[in-house]
Amino acid sequence: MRQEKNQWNTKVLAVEKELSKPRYRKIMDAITIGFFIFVIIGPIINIFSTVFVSWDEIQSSVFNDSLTGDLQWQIMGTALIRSFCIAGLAVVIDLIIGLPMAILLTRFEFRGKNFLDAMVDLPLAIPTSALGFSVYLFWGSPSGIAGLFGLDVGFFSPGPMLILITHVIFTYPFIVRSLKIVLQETPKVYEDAATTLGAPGFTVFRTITSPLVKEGIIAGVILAFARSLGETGATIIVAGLYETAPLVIVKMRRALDIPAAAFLSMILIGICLVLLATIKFLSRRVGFPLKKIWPTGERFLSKPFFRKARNILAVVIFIVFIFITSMFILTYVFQPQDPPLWEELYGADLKWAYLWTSLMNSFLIGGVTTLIVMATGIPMAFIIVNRKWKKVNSLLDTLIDIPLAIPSAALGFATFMFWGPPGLNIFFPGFWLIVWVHVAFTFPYMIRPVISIIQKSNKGLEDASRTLGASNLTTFRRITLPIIKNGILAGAIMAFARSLGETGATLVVMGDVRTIPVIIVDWVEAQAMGSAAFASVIIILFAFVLLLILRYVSKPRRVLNA
Amino acid sequence: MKNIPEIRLEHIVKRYRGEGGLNDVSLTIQDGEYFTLLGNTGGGKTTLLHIIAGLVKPDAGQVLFDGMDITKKKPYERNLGLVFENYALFPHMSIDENISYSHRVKGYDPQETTQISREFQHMLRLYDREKAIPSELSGGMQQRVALGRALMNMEGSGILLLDEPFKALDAGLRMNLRVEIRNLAKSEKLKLTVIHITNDMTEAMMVSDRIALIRDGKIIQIGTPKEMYYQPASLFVAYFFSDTVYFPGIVATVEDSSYSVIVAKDVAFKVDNPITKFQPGDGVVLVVRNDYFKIYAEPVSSEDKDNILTGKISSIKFMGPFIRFSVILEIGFLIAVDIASTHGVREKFPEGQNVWLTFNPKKAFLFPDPGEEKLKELYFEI
Repeated sequence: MRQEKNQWNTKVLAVEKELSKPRYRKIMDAITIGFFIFVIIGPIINIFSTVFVSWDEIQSSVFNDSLTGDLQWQIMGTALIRSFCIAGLAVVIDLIIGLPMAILLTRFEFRGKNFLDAMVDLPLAIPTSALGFSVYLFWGSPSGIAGLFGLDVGFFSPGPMLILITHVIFTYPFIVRSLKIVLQETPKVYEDAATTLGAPGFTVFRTITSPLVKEGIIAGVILAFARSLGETGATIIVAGLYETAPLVIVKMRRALDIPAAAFLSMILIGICLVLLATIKFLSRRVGFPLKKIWPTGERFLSKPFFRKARNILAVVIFIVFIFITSMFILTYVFQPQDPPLWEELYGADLKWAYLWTSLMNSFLIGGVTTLIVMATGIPMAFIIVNRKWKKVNSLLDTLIDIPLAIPSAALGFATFMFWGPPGLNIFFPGFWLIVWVHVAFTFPYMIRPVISIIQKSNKGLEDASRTLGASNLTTFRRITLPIIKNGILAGAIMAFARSLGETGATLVVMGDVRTIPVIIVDWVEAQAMGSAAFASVIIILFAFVLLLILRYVSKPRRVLNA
Repeated sequence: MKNIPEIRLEHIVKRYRGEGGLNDVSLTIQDGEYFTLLGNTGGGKTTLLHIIAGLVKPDAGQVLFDGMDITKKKPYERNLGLVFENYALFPHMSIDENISYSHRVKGYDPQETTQISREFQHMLRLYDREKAIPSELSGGMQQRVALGRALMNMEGSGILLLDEPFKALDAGLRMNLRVEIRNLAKSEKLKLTVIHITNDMTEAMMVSDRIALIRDGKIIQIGTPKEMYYQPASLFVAYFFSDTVYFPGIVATVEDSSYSVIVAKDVAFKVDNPITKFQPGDGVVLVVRNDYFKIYAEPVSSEDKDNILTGKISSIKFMGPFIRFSVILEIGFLIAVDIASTHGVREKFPEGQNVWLTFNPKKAFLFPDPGEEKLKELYFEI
């Protein structure tokens, strides 16, 4: 028995040794990069070339339509301006309310800190269409906050105000998270040093902390801005007639106005690429006028009273505006409704069966997507960290972030143009095209945690294993994999959660397949509020479970820190 | 010219979940004294320093400067210089900006600030580097910048706190800087009160006027380097300050202040004038420094010498200035003795040689027996 097992082990080791030869590594690298270029970069380049090639067609439909003239162009322009205003305002508000929260979570110790930290991440887990619906119910309908004041209409009707609130909420965790990370990475000892040198708290923040973290802040802000610019699912629910750019893409795609959709997608993608490039290359050169020092006023502002006030305000604003608003939907399901929920679900149009199929679709798409991004993302992470290709690594490192920045509806449309009927004609709108788009936009979510854990891990361990006689692949299996396991798990959960919650990209490529976020949109549009809320609650609960697992998995362990 | 205060700590208590807490620490540091807090990592040294600087609030107790209670004062109101373990130079500021930071945040006259900053740079031999950023400097230069930055913030206090200032430096550089920093502190111009943290006994002995040995949040002993070395108050202090050999035993007789201690069957050692007094029958530990032994290759008469041990050399290590012999004693102990490596020592004492060891009864220490467990723990811990 032992003999047999040993033989098996010997075979495995022999195969691993063979596969560790450089040529197999090259093949693997080629496949990985090839996949990345085809699935993620290809569609984006394609959309630029499509616009260029079919410029005449675009010109005639966008700028010189025989009936409407340049109406399309005017719609696009308005939508773009609106998107920019909303994104800009949302990010500024987030920065104001998020910075104190990030400081509270990194520089103070108090009871319930971990709990607050988990709560801040919540809006990240909620699918945006469910979040949008929750915002609508809370601020925009009589069953929400208006009901408390005895009003029979909501505070705000669907339109810019609700969009702004929604965008503030879903970008909030992005901002707080990135601020938290840079604050954590900045050793507190610099602040201590400044304090002993006579600088009161406020001066310390202005002269020491903020210059050290400003690059991180700028990166976080731009990322949140790009996310807001590209959001579809939540916006579509609270927008009413006020259309932002991604909504216009969805509408044009639905109306089969392909050239116009391609043109707007290209513009949005272009803008977001510029933003991404700005993060990568320019953030180091941005300077704030921080040199000047104003002792007296800052000493006053550094008093404990102000510090306490700031901390309390950060928590109160978070709970009232972010937390309660996004959780409100959970209470809504339990409110008595007319018609009652179960009647609506079991009605003639078979909503229950529909809900069930969509749920299955969502999980299946999420699962398949996660498997594909794992299989392709992990080798990519190793290429970026370990290969010594000089500029190529850092180029790839930048490129993998593209899906984070560009609107998912535009990415979806680009994928449709590349892989679908207008392009290679390999996939038709439906299950596989949805999977393909989801692979594209979940790719960075999968790969980032893996990269960071590989970078943190001790290279000496692998070298040690190799000097002890293990081939590269054996080393990977026995040493590297156990160390980076949690990073992979974290990435996989993030990818799965993102796939589960995506609306915009799915809307563009779905054909007649439906996922949960999409039926939420459908049902809200059909005024089936109870069913929409029920579907939202189901998906939110799943997302919470995922978030809890994620937090558990990404907790630092003793073993990994050794 | 300067009004240097005396620093007094009274019954300081700080509780932490892990290591590093303080348990009722009181001490007084005189004007212009170079005072060292010595102890192992996690003993509470840094916590104590941070309490003096105001970065950590004590759970109980008071910090007094010249009799004034400043326990509640913010760190930025204390005007003392703290050099951090890894210097904590602001990475985004130039050398000049780092050094002059304290004057700038207090809104002092810019021209005067620049001038004072230049003076300090000159004094610390930082020539023409005011525009450089910290990461462009060598470790030694970074340390001088950190020192300059701390010195700038000491007007009216003259208190300099050093948190393991030489830890990040090469061994050779460390030696020179120890002398340099002490000279600086004692110079007519500055006349500083220094509190210096280290876990290096030699460093503490070299620079200090007085040393406080801290362990598990308690001060074990305070004294001048000589006192710590020649009159250790406990087994721990004796062991911390030098390599020692110990024999557990029982006091047999006491005559005047000469003790006879039985350490094995039919073997008794004589100890004169121990610091602590004992009664016959008390359990004790007899401690002798490794380098207090004399070694002979031929039998020694008990009429010439007290405290004779016989044994056999089991191994030899050449340590430079001395040779360390491991000797298996007839009474069953394995001990290490250090003998100055003068000419011919090696040839005279080869491995396997039978030897006779003696030590002076005046130079042995007696401490109460903490029990075998404690003894082992102590000797293995360090």
